[in-house]
Amino acid sequence: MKKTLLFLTVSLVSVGCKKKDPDTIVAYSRENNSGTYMYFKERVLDNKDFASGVQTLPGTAAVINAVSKDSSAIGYGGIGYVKGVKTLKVKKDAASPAVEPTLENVVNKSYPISRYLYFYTVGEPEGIVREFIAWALGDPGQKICEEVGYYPLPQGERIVPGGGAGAGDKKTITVKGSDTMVILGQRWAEHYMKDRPGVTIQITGGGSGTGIAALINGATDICQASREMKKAERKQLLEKFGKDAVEIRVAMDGLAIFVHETNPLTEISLEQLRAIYTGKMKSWKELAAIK
Amino acid sequence: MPRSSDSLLLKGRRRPLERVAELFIRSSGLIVIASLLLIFIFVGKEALPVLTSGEVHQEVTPKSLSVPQENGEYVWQPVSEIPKYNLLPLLVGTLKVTIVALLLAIPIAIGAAIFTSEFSPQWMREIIKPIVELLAGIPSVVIGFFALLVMASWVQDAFGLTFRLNAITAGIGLSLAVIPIVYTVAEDALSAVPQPFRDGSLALGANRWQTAWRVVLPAAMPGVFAACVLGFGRAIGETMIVLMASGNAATLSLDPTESFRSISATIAAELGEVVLGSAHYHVLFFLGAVLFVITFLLNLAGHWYVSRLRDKLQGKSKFKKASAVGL
Repeated sequence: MKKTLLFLTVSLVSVGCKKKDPDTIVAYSRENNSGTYMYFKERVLDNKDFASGVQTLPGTAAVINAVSKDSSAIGYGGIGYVKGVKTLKVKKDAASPAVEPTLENVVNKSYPISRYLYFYTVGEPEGIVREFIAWALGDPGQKICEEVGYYPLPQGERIVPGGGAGAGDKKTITVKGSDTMVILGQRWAEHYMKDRPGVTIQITGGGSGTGIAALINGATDICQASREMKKAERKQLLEKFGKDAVEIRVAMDGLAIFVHETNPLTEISLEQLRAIYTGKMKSWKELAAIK
Repeated sequence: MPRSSDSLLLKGRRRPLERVAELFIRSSGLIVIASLLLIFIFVGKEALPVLTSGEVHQEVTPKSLSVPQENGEYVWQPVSEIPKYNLLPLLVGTLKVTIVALLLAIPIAIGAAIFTSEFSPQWMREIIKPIVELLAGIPSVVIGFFALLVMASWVQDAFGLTFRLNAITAGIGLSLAVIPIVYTVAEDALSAVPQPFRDGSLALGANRWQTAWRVVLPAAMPGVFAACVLGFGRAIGETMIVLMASGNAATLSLDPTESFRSISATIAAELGEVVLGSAHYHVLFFLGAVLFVITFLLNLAGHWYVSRLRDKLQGKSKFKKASAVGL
């Protein structure tokens, strides 16, 4: 017992003697089941691995919360969630200008880390499911995107596939998938159900991968995803249903890079981001050396 | 006369309701055992391909789970061009946080148990005990969120740590979940020590502290130790608190001020995304099996130790009891 107490005191004292190093970059990321994680890995890290020291949290809100309380932190996440942290301008490379993630810049694609958000269905959507998708892609639906913090698709890209009448008595649509898109889906469902009494739409999150798995298991009508479906997943779906997965772009999202409000940094390049998240760069002071 | 005494002892014809009740109780017992067995079989079945299947072995083998990768590092990176699975960082992380949590929880829980059973007045005991037990009812996700948002900042400021989320933060959060379990079981064990033990000790001139520490605690040791084993089981398997407060970085480090990734949090975070039947899927179940085996072995060892303690105590307690009763 005495030994335990002694050990406890010694370890507490040794912990107490450690000093916070404000220069260390503390990088936060999403968990690896997230579509945002996959997108970041492909778009920013050129498919290289995240460093093992990168901390991962369940949910964009958790990442933002952690960054807002940690003066040496950096994180990324869907722009609709950003609050209480400082968003950085992003440079594609050293020569290009630093771009802010605003509506125009995301829609005209000058912001380098923007992406599409998707709906997936098994085969072309029919009946009530198609009606809902068509409505979401119409002006009222796209306006809601903006309200929630995402960006509408450019006019020419709002393509609604399918057109069959489908089973007439279907009154419930289930939608499952990306956590990034849950709020958007819920807002769409609210407005849509208000206009059309009798139709029920259920929206749940869980992550893009979870949604795709649900689609493959036949547990959902529409899968929301913040990343493209993988080849293996498409193959599984085809084997199970004999139909291809149909991809529908429904909105655009900019991936915001953010730091603590007291951080003097205002812009960051993709190269610098890559160095931070692959573990090559661990110091805020030396970050400027990378162009 | 014999007939009436039979009916008094309820040995005659049993009432149908009784029979139903007995059947119900008996089957509940069997259901518990059966479900445990089924879970074990399911986890084992899904984990087995890691050891046997050639298809899985193209990506991961039992050897690659434990030896360092080519660059000499231990990496857990399942979502990658070349998936890398290494158990060691997860195992070390899990044990690291469990040890921190137990170092905090056990002294507090046992101290509180000794206080309420030996020192506190009755009315205070009746307040403290339900409150501590209420702590057990707080959902772990709430504790985890609290640790992530509030406690992490406190710990960081108090110790001046570089990383906000680390094994100390998670360990403190975890200890909140462990304390009620250890406390309740230990308190029951201490209270169950017969009053003559205390009377005898006090009569022989020992003060209350000596009585509690040298007589009551040793007498209750089997129960107290069992409480600690239960606490360990809870700490090592706890998921939400660790998932939220640990930072989940799979680094191989013994430093409690660094972020870590635990086995349970890894399963929780990755199982939702994994492609059914893939190597990753089987590895996650293998992790579950590892956790199961650790808990099982520890429980077994705990059981063995407790029964040894009990035997030892009973050997001695004859004398003690005799002297106490002699009063």
